[in-house]
Amino acid sequence: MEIIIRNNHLTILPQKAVFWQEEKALLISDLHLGKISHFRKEGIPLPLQAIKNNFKRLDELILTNNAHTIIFTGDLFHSSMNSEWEHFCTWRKKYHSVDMHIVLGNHDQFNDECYSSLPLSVHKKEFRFNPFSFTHHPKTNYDGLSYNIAGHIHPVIKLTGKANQHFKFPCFYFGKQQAVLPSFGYFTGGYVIEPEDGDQVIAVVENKLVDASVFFQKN
Amino acid sequence: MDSPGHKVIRKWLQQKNWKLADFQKQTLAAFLECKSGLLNAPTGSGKTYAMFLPVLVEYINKHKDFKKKKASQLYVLWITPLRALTRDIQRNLQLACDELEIPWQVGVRTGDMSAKDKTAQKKAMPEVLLITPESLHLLFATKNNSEVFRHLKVAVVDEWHELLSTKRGVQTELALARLRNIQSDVLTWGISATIGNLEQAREVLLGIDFDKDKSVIIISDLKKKIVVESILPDKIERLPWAGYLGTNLLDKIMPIVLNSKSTLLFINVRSQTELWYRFILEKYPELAGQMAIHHGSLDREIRNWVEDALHKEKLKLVVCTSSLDLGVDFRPVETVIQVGSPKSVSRFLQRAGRSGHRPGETSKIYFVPTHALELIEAVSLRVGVERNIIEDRLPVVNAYDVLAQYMVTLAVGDGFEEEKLFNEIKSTFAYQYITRDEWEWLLGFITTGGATLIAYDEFRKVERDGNLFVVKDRRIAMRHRLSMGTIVSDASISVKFLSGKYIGTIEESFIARLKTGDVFSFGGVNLEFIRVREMIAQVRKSSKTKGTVPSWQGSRIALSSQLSEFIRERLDGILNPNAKEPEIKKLQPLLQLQHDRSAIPTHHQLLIEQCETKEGHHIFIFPFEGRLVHEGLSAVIAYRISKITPISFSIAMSDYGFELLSDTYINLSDVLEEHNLFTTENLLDDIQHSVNSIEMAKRKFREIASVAGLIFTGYPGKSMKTKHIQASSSLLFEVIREHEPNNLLIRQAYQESLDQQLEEHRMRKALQRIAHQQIIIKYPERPTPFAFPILVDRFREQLTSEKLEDRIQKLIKQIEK
Repeated sequence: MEIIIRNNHLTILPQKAVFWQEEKALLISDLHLGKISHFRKEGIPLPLQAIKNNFKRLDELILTNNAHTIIFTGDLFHSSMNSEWEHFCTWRKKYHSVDMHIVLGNHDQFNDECYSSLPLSVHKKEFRFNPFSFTHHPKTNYDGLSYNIAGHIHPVIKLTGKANQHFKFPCFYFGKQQAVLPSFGYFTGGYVIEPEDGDQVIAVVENKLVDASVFFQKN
Repeated sequence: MDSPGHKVIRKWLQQKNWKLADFQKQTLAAFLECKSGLLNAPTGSGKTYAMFLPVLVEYINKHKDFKKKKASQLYVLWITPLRALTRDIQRNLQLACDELEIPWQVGVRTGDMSAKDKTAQKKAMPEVLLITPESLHLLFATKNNSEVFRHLKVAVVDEWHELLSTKRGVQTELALARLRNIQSDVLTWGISATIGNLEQAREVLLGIDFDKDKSVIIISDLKKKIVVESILPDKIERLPWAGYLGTNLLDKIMPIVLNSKSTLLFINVRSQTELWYRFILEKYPELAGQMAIHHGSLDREIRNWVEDALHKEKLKLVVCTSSLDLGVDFRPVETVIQVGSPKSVSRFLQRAGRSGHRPGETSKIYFVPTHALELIEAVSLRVGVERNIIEDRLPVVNAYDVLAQYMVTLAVGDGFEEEKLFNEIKSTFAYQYITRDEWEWLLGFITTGGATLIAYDEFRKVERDGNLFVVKDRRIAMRHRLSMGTIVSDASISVKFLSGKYIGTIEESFIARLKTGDVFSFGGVNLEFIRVREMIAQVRKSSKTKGTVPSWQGSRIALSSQLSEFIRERLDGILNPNAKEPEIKKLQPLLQLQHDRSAIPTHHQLLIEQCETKEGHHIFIFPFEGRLVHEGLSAVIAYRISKITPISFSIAMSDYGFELLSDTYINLSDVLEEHNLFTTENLLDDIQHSVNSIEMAKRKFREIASVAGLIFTGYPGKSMKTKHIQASSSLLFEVIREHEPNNLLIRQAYQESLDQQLEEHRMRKALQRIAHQQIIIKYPERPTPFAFPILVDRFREQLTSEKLEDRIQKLIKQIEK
């Protein structure tokens, strides 16, 4: 599925990521690495095998799309330092030809040295890459110059139909001036959004994309 | 037999003009023969003294100088399910000691005590300690705890029937096994109200290795006369809404309340106690100050105050939930009113027993139906009471979550040797069938986090130190202590005034919906919401009279099998204007409408109704088996239909029947001709295959995950930063199910949903019964009185055999139309 914003082509991927064709860039939000290890460190026995899940999905995305750049829109790492950071560093070095950017999110609390030891461009609040402006928190005041792409919310859409059937799915949200990406991370929750008329919402239904906009379009 | 102890006690009894009843004499004799046992006696019969006086007789016999104060040591451990009960029992036990000049102290240990008080108490234990199962486990989580129990003579478990069928009962079993191991001579006694399986209750109490000859069951022959009177509405609504309040009967209830010195008004749901309280106050403002509210979410202090005031006869009316269910022996209540179906005969009896306390007196209970169909239940309850039918309470087995928690508890305390502990827990009823493999899995779960230890894994909880399993990390120890217990509530938020005064707890989901300035009722007071700060909702008193009412999610109780049987029986010939029961007479218009639109099934028939509304195509099936059975049965039937033709159903249910709602029509009579939807064949398979089994297990997993320490919800009233280790149980469930399919806790979730949620054994029985019933299908144009309560039930399950994507496409088409 493709969305065109200011003459740029964005492919929406059912893996809960976006591929920006012009720049060959993967847009990935709210990975929350380290969450499982963090729980384990605190004595909560989650299965160790689950850690690999995120990396496996990242590998697949990079290879199938031949990505040159990855932009993480925040909450890359969930918690204080733990062994999953090592995993990430090893993984990062595997793709030395891929440019990686991170806009820091509220969860990303490491000191600067941690990031600077890696080939990783760190942006404190905002990363402008025309025609887009990448942030972690969705912007509330728009300058009209750039289109905002953000994360943080972990958007989920609730669809209700006849016979009182309802479903909840992670979704991409595209408004007039701003997009919010679903949380990419394994082991993350979601927040139900209520889109407005004219917004476009694409739900991820069992690894397939469904345009859910019809559910709230009044006409 | 006339020991010195007998003499002292007899003299005391004579002074008070009391006489020992037969069961009290029997208990005394058995106790002096060093027997353990189970005492079955109703509330208000003097069961507390029946158990305590033997202890004193024995002590006096052993100590000629019993009036002399000795070094304090714990002699009697008195385990009660509710802290609320401890206050009365403490008062009465202390009174006996004081009057007999035995210098004993009767102490209480609860979670409310400060750490300082707890430490002080542990250093100089009172001779009698009243404690809840949770607090007893907390004691096991302290250092050198076994010293405390060295001289223990007897452990008494009060209200054993209440604990028996819960995980707290399992905690009690574990604790008793521990005590018997620390002090092999300790006697174990249980006090229980009448239940169907008393013999089993004894076995669970004493453990499976216990020598039967050394124990007794004593049954008091005191029978209470109970009269049930329904409060009838003037007019019956022909389409009964489920879950309406019954407040329209207030004008008939209040004369009863006003004419009685004290009344307990039992309501099934906490949120409705708030509504009732407010409603009564609006209509009868003169009751202000003489009326109170009592439910489990209110602050302990408030509840204490209410209980005290009730005791001192200062209150005319208390609106309460099951929080006042348990038999407090000494509290006089003149009148008991039950609002809505109590769902089981024994619960009804117990509540009825709260009035007319003196032995031999008649207890009267008023029944207020909350919807018309409950009038049938009233009649059935009366039948149950007359025939003295008492339900079983089935003990919980193989609760791995409780065991995992207990293992960590011991590791936080003095540590444990795994083989010794294995043998100890294997002696309990709950874990008699646990295998070595399962045990090893649990050891792994708490030490390495379930996985084989690999490089740079940081899992930390229980460590091995030589032969001992211990917790060394103080933070982990503290967090464990804070999260112990088996009662899991929704993420709850403390409600406090700006001044900091604590009022109680409310579920987070309710608070999340509030905006600053919103007004809600809580504890009978209207509060204005200000803000949430660190898991505390700050409020101030509001002068507004209207406000929303918080909801607390508790699992809904389903109709017991005995009661549902009476209801099915009573349906035979129920359409009869000359029926002798006033309730049935009143119901005639509704029954007539049911008859005209569809049919009233006899107990040889199964009624099915199919009709169409703008919601979709409804199938209503009425087995009259109780909500839980219907939950499972509906899933199985939906699954079986969907195997024949791809279809999605929304499912709703009540205690009388269930509904399958779909967007396409199914010709059920054709389906039934070719397929036996109600067969018991492949039942387990079909249950497992119905999508619901995963969803149900997921719901069960919430409690399991919390008990086993996967979820840390913090501690009510204490704000700690815990957000970073919180995850929803459904997320945890998914992750573990995907990566560790052999996880015992996941298995337990499935098993629990099968046993408790679906009541598989009852479902099987129901299907066997249906096999002999004639199926009648009716096609009413509009929903019938029987169907209506189900129709408005908002709790809906889904079951589908269609691909999710197809369903979405279908949804989209519906909307585009």
